[in-house]
Amino acid sequence: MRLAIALLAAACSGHPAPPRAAPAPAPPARAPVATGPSLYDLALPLTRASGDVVGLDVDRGHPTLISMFYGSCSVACPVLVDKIAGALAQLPDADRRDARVLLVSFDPARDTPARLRELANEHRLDARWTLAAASDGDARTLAAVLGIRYRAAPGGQFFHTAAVVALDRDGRIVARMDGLGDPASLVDALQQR
Amino acid sequence: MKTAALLLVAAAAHAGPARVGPGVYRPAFPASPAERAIPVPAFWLDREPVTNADYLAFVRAVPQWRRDRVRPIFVASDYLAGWAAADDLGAVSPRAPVVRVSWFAARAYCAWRGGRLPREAEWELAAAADGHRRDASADPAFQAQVLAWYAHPTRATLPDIGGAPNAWGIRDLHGLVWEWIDDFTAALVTADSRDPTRSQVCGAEAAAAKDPRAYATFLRFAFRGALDARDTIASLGFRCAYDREVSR
Repeated sequence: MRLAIALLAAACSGHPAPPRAAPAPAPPARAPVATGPSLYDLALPLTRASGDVVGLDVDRGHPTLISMFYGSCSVACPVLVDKIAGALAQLPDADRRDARVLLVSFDPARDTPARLRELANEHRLDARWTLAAASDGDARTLAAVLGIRYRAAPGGQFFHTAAVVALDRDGRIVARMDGLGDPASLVDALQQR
Repeated sequence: MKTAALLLVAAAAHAGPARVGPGVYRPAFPASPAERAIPVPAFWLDREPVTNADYLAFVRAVPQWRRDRVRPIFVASDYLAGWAAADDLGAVSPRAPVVRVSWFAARAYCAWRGGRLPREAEWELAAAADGHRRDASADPAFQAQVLAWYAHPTRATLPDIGGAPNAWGIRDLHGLVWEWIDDFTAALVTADSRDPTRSQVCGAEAAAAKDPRAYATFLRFAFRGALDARDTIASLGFRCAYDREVSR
């Protein structure tokens, strides 16, 4: 029963994020050290707005922010895009040019390449941003790796937690932002040299 | 009814997965008002949890899931730690459920078998049955039995599978180990989780529930809600589901 009580306590922590979904402690500012496994070990095909199928490592070689969304979301997702754009805007020029953003949809049925192109135009996203969709099974895998929880609800909505994860050039997690809070840790992580 | 139950018991004698459903899953904690009754199309479910012997056959056939070769992004460091070696069970019983497997590993195993992990609605539908009723979930005696198991600490040595089959012909859904489901990351995610100022779920909510199913179910949901996909826990195993009839 002790286990159960601990679980109750964990479930009651009042956080939208899963209680144990913080794999990386906040890295020291400016010098994040990533020793964990690379996300790029996942063989996970993504269909991007151009219609091309690429791997999760499409931005290998660049510090990258990665998150998940669904295109018909009218509330949290535009805020997510704003937050990420805001984080990029805080970077010095060279880092800002080097950084990449990968947003993966968990709604492949509706987020077709055409729809992804529309979204990119709507939000005026430049070439540093990649919008892509994964199959249902692959989206579940990626969400599990990123510590993002979601469920498809009747009526085409998705209920989901929001998180943005910063990856180093080799795909290792160096920082994360749970919820739509202060992106300071992401800004720091993107300035790694 | 008794005849039907006897037939089901007889059917359990062969090892293929059991057909479950179609049915309606009524969650004790619906994520939204539209999700009070979720139709579940018929599916097939392993009659027993995956055993150490089953999993050993898997890592022999697909060596990248051996504990000395697996990529660390998929498993915690104590993946299959109870085994003597990467391809040797040692003192662990071949007929005991395999544990210390991550969600990634469980999914890979089921894909190898031509199946997948069951979804929450499927697992809960199958697990609502007792020995002779497909839906015993409203019976306080059945709930008490499930809760009694949850109140036990995990035994140091897991017993072999072989509990009595339920009305679907499925064994050991309760009483041996917790089991992975495919959509565990959906547990506890409700419309409210978009609002970070509100907690997703709270014990008070469960305690206030009038439905007698609520407490045991709540413990399962809380457990799932606390899991990470890389976790390799000593009391957590799995079984596979299939969209069509398969033979082993």
